[in-house]
Amino acid sequence: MTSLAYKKYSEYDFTDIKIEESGRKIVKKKSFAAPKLFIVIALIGGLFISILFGYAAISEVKYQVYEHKQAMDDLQMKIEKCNIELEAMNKTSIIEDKAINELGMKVPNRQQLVYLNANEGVNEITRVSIALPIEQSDSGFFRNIYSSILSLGFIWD
Amino acid sequence: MALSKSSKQRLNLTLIIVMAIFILLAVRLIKVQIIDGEKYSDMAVIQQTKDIPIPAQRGEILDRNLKKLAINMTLYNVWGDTNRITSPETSSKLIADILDLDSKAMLDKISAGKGLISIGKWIDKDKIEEIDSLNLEGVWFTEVERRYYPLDALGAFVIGHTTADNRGLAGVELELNRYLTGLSGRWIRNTDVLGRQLPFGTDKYYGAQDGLNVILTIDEVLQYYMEQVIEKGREELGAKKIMALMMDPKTGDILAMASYPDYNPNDPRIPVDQSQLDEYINLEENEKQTYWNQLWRNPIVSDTYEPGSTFKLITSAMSLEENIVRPDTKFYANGYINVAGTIIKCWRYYRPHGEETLTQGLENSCNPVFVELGLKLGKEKFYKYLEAFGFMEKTGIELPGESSGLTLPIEKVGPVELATMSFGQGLSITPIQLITAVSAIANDGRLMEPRLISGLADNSGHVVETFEPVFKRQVISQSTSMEMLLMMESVVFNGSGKEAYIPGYRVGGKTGTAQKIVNGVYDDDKVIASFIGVAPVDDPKLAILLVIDEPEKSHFGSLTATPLAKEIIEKSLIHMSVEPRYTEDELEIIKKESVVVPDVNGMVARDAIETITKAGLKYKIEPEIETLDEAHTVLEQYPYAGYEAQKGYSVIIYVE
Repeated sequence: MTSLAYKKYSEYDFTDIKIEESGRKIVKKKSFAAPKLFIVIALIGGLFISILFGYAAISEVKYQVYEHKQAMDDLQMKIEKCNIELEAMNKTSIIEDKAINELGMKVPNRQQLVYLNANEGVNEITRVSIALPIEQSDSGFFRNIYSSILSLGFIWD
Repeated sequence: MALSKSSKQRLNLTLIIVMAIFILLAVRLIKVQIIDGEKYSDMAVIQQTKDIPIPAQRGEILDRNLKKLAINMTLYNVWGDTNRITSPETSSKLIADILDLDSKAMLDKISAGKGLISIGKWIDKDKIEEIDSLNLEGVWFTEVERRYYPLDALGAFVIGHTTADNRGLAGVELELNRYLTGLSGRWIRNTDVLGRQLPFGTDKYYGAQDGLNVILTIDEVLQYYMEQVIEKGREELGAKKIMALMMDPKTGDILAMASYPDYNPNDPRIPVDQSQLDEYINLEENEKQTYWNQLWRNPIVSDTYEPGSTFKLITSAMSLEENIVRPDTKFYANGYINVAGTIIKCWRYYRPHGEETLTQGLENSCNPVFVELGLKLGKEKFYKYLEAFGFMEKTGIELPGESSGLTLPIEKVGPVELATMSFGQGLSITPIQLITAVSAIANDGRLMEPRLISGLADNSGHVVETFEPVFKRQVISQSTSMEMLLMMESVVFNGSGKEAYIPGYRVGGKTGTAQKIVNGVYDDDKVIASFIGVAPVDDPKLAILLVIDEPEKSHFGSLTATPLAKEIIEKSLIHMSVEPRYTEDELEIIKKESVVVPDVNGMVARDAIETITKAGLKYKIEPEIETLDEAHTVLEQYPYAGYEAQKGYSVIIYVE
């Protein structure tokens, strides 16, 4: 017998014994195996199902995110469009035209203009009327004192 | 069991073949991995690496009050693959209907079968959705950013415009392209053939850096007033070209700049003016580019002209500064002056001005007075001041294509040339140079660099860089400046600039009428009429130059440019909240022309109308009622009783 044939024989012999031993053990534990396997399969199945549901939920959320992004882009586009329309309507020529032709407004004449003397720190409104400069030119010493007292009125306001 | 010899041989042969294969594979592996390893690894990197450009958004252009002059809008381009479009007839008809295009032309384009073709450019989203819903084979869309100018032609020469791919082509868009463009970003990642990220690959995202917003010194309202007046002038005077420019003399800020004929930057290739449009339509394809370049050229900075009498302000300032004359120095003008054998006439040579002071000479715009001044100054000093006032150099304004003035080389200037230059002929300057020089006269002699850009801001509105006014040099003294302003006011009050007089505002200025050179000689029929002014002279807030090229109705600057300039000045000063200060004489005149608004509150509407009309006023009924009866009484009135209004002013009466 060649060495190769011997090895084959020996392996066969050894395996034979093993089967015999394990066979005995399996027979002993057979009564617990069925429910345990069922539980394992159920657990694995449950796990797979929950993973599937999880993926479905994630996909759903992803889809919603995509939808919202699309809606956001659309709204962004609408905002941009509105802004452009607003800028185009913001032209002085259009405002003037609408004020005159739609609202019936008139361009004020020089006497109707009001200038705010914000730089002087007093909330005084000077109406540019033809009367004001004459009063100023006529003002004497006492009138100036009187005007100064009047201008202090804001303290009690 | 013993193997036969032949089996052993077969086994050995198999072993050798397998060994040989392994050796070959090893050799190949060495070649691939070691010898050509670098090459293949580079190829793999190229194949796997996706470099996606992230476009930067172009910055906006804003006026001094942050009103938007140039913005971006997202639009779409429609593309078609002629090889994939299954039914060209149906597709072209459907698309053409939505896009308002010629379906036949589109069908011809598709039928030509050139592969990828452009079907529509700059289409808005609504139309794209309409086309998309048709589910046409071989038609798709790409998103593009397009520059949009909400004010259309307003300020076109300042703002300029861009190319289809958003590169600056004219105006500020071109000059400040480096700030406006921004930096494109990149997304570099390694992916497999399906575009999935490779586990150990690169994934680097470099965000785009948007362009900066440019804040101009232009005021949109002043620009509108200016263009409104120019439009009116064009209709009334029928001029070939009208240019206007407004500057803050103290800072050099350009407040408004306009020129007619102009163009709409939203459609820059099509002229706005009808006569120009007719000319454009008849052009050959190869002539169009030259025509567009001419159309987009800003004449205020790029074109030179002979300033004529407006230049007398400069000659006066030089002479006063050099102490060779005082405002009250007397001259005698007999209608002409002989310069080295050449007779130079005054415009009123037929009725000479006679004895006059320098101020009166300026009021009368008397040529011989200024010839005399120029000759007294001498060419060296004259040229020294030309240089100091900035006529020999570009002003440095942030606009493309600026020209410098054209003057004779000093060695070629003889007495006649000097004499003609003294009253503004024989030298050629740009409008921006003239207003900058006159602004220096109004600004205590301080020459400022024209400023068009006041700052740069990022997307969140933070100003990241400011451009401060640039003082160039002191040209004349403060006292000369004050004398000049008074002389300019005198021109408006007593002289040729009377049409620019505005009660309540001290306006100073000078008119000009310069003949144009046609075929090498001055043509009496073709003139450039102009007005340059400063207001108010006691505290200059603005300097204005208005130039009319070849006015048809009248040739004189005093009758053409001055009234237009006056209208712009008045509106602008009111807009700038410059309070008028009336002299006693002005107040008397206003008082004579004004009436006290009567009290009509509670009156029957008909009686109220009679009372208002008798007072020399007009009326307006609110709300509008066709027939008024006794039941209609006045609830309120505006202006209120006792208000002093000018005759003919409308009183609004609110009736029950």
